[in-house]
This record gives sequence, C-alpha cells and structure tokens, in this order.
Amino acid sequence: MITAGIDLGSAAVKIVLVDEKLNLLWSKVVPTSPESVVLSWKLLSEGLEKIGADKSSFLGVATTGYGRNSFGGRQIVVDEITAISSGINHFTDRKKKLIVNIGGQDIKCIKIEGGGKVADFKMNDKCAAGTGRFFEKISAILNIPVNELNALDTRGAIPIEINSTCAVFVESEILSFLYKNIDKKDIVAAINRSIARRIGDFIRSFSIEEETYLDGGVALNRNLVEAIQEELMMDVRIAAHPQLTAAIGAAVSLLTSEGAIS
Amino acid sequence: MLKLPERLFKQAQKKYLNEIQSEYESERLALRSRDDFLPELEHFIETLSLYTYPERFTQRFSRPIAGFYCVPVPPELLDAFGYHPVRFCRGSASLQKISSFNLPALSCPLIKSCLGSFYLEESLEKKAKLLIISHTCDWMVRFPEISSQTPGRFYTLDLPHIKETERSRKRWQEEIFALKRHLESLSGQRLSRKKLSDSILKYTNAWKLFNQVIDLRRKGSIPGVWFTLIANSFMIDDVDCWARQIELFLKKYPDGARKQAGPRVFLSGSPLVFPNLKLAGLIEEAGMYIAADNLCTSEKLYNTLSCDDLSDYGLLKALAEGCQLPCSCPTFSVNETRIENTLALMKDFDIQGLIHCVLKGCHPFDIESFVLEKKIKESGYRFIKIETDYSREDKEVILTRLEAFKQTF
Repeated sequence: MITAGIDLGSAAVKIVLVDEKLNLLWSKVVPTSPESVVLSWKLLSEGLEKIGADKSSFLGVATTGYGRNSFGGRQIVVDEITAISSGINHFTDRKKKLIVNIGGQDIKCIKIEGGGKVADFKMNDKCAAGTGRFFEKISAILNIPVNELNALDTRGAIPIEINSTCAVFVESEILSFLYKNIDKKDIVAAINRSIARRIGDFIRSFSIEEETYLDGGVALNRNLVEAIQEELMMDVRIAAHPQLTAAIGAAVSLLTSEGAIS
Repeated sequence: MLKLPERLFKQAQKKYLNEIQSEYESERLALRSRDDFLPELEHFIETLSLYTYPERFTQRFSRPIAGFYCVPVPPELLDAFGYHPVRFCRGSASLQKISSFNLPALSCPLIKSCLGSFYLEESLEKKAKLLIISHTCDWMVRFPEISSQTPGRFYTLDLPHIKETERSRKRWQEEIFALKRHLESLSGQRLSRKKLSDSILKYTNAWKLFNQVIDLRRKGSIPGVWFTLIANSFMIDDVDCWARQIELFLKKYPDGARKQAGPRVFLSGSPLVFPNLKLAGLIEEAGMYIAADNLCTSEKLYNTLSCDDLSDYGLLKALAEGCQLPCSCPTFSVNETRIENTLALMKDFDIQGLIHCVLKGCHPFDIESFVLEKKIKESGYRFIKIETDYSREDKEVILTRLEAFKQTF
C-alpha cells in the first residue's frame, strides 16, 4: 500500500510516498507559500504519477506540521511531536533517546523512552534563533545560498564572537564584521558557535541522552552540527532524512492506524 | 500619562472602546454557540460583560464600587461597609493595547489590561469609590504609580511575603485592621460586628455552593471553560445573586452528568480571566479535561474562613488569615506547601499531568515553573509549561503542544 505523508511546515512543505515496508519511494521539499494546500495536492499527484501508483494501491494521506488541519484530503492528522518520534523510531531502534528537531521557526526537544513512546518534550518560545528562517536571513545578509553555508570550509576560522542570536539584530553585528573585511567563513563559524551555544543551553535545560539525534532541515548544515557537538561535548547522530522525518512519521502513523504495520 | 495630543487621545479612546466591546461580544457569542451551552450559564456571561458597560453595571447594582486587585483583599469587609466589591483583574487583549505605550513591551498582560481601563473615558475603575491594591508582585507594587492616578486614589496593603512566621502574620493583621480604619473614616461609620458576620456568612454560603461545582469538576462533569466562567463572575457579581445562580445551575447539572473524556489534568500558573478563556478552551480542544486548578481567578479566588472567636478582633483576624494563608500566589517566599497540596490533589483525584500557564511578563509564575516542573516530574506526573499572552494568534502553536502533551499520557 502506498501512503503519503505531508508535513506542512512553517518554512517548507515536505511530502513523501512510502510503501508498507516503509521504503521511501518518492519525496519533495518546496518552500511554504500562501498556496501550500493547492501545492500539496499538485505534489501528491506528481509523486503518485512518478512512481506509477494506481488508486487501488493508495492507502491515503496523513498530514502534520502547522498547516496539518488545512489539507482537506487527509485520512489522519498527526501532531508534529508524534510524527517526528514515529519517523525517528522508524529509522532507528526503539531505545531511549533524545531528538532535537530544528525546524523552520522553532526547536523541539523530544525525549523518547524505551519502546519508542514520547516521554516528554520541550519547544522554544517564539524565537527563531538557530532555526531554518534564521539561516535564510544569514544567507541573505552574507549573499551566500543556504545550501552553501553548509559547504563552506570553516576550518581554521579566526575566533571572532557574535553575541546576538536575534534574527534581526544579528544583521548589524554581521555588517560590522563585513565592513572590517572579516572573511565570510570566519563570520559563518562565529554564527554557528553562537547558535550552537543557544541550542546547547536549550537542550541542557531539558535533558541530554547518550543517544541524541539532530533532525530537521538545519541538521543538513554540517558546520552547525559540528559546532553543536563541540558545545555539547558529545557526538550527535543525524536522522536518515532529517528534512523528511515528520512527513515519514505521519505516513507511519497512518499505516499503523490502518493495521498495515505494527 | 498623555503622550498624544488630546484630540488624538480621544479618538484612540473611542477606537479602543469599540475594540474592547467587540472582544467581549465575540467571546460571549462563542460561548453561547457551544453545543453544551445551558440557559443557566447566561447570567454568568452577562455579568462578566458588565466590565465593559459601566452604565449597565450601575443600573443593575446600586451600591458604590470598592475595586481591588489580587486575592489578598477581604471582600467581606468591603461588603460589610456597604460597598459592592469588584475585583479589577482583567483579561482583555484590546485593553492591553491602549496602555502598552506606557509600559515595557514584555510587561504582564494582566497588568497592561488592568491599566488600560484607566485610559478609557468611562470605566468601572473610574466609577469606583475606592481602589485597593495588595502588594503581591512587583507589577502590583508599582501599579498605583504607573496608572498615573491622583495621589491617594489607591489604598495599598503591604502584603508580607512570608506566611510562616508569627511576626509576618501579625504584620498582615495590622494591615487589615488599618484597612478597616480607612473604611471607617471614608464611610463615616464604625464597623458593625453584625454586618461583618452577616457578610462573612453570605460569602461562606456562596462558596459552599461553589464547592458543589468544584465536586462536579472533580467527578469529570464540567468543561474547563464553563467552570472558569462561573468562577470569574464571582469577581464582579453580587455575592447573593451569584449564589442563587449557582443553585439554579446545579439543579440543571445533576451529579455525574455529562462525563468529559480525555486525560485529567491540573491547571496552574497565571490567572485566566474573561474574556480570555483561550487556554481552557484549547485544553478541551486537545482532548484533555481540567479536573482541578489553583488559579487565583478560579478555584483559589476565595477561601472560606475558619473563625472561633466572634469578637471584632477575632473576625478581622480570620479575614486576614483567610486571604493570606491559603493564597496561591507564587510571590510568597516559600511555596512548598502549595506544591505539596497540588501533588496531593493530583493523587487524590486521579490527575495525570499538570499544565502550567505563564503569561509572558508574569515573572513569579515563570520563575516558579522550574521548581514546579522538577517536583511534578519527580512525582511521576507529566508536566508542560505554556507561555502565552492575551492575544489569540498563538492558538495553533499552543494547540500543537497540547496535542503532543496528550500523547505523552
């Protein structure tokens, strides 16, 4: 049975198609827009066509993310915490672990107890520091595409300090460095350290587990991940498809509720 | 206070008054359109809307208003002097807008909302003969100053922040005795012991009836929104009238009726005040049931008195103790007993988790949340802190958290 999971997030819409063995058959990520629901329908048709699925083999759609209730064609709605947990559980064992999901506009820490159940969680409050939107802003100021922030070689960067983690005020700090002709890679390294400190404080205020996963699109930023590891003084794992975890988790929830998997 | 030219300020007053009235009106409509609305609830909705219609208030109630803020002010004493006690703690998002230019951005929404009423051309606060403020949090301490009222408009009660010592209790009794003297000089009459004991009796009887509503809540019968509404209206209604309406309501709400589904939760933290019943509604929407709370605008907005000594001194001492010792405000320096009481209640009434509401800028409840979280989790219960204000825009974000919280049970 083909199942669709759609994560209508604050920064991007993520859609996946999986089968009952939970193989990822197709996926797509597009920026969130005012027409995200219409877009989701189009993407769904595109994906089903791409993998050649027919109506009889299509189980349905599960939605998650901030726009989860707006997609009319859904079978079930799954809250993001449950979806992310199901997604991570699907790719890993069901042991005790901590998931740190860095989304488009917020950060979620989710503690999973043995057996895969959510034991506790914490979300940051109305601050976009370190989230996807924050790095979009940084990329615009530095005139470096977001995906290249990840590729930038920040090894050997000179240790400058950026103290502001506010998405707006950080701009003036960055500009002051640019006017002093500080290399962009040094600035990016400083931003990563600053954000890693903030994320580290947030995680420590919750709970750290031996097995800690970073999830969400920002987890694709290798430089930030290294800064977080340094801040936490431990290795962190990266989810298999960090941007798609919630969408996959939503699909897993639908398959489970329909009895297709246990 | 005026940072705008007079003409613009008048325009702003008119604009905000319309906004405030439509905010109250839309909440009234939303409540009436609920599937579980009962005609017996209409009185409570109507009474709470009197906050925005001072003229209607004076048409319904004839006694002069004695307004006060926070729990540690004994309404029985005001009632005994012939005043209509009204608690002016407000929950309006529109009211806070009108005062926001005079306060830091991250100020407590309740304070902003309370302050906003003073900026309107007409308000109940402006009609009040007397305004009493109790020094609970720092915001309340500064309230008379920031409200820019004429000196002496507020009578302040200096609340000691330690409950446990005899010295502090005596100091607080002195404050209540001084309030009595102030009321005597204001009204030109001495306190009548009979009037005070009659008043205490009235309040005690009303609260006894309300305890039956609390019992229904413990049994799982009353949605959090209705419970909060009924409790909130105690702050403005005539106590006898409120008690009669509770009786009518109880007749329509037989024991054990309308069992509510979902995990049972305890609600603590910053006060929920009409027309902002957002959090209670969202908890319901997420599929959970508020079985108890310790909010100062709900279950803990009043405490019945225990009084063996029926002399003037004994009655006043009982009033002082009644509004200080059981007070659920976290501004007191030791809060262990309160947290222990919360845990005992959770155990006794099969409550599975605690939702701690913090209004942004309400520092006492925010600071307390860390200790509370630790103790609640150590005792094996689920805990979530929800940070919000009076705006409606964060509904979806809060709902996401509450839905996920429910999954953890």
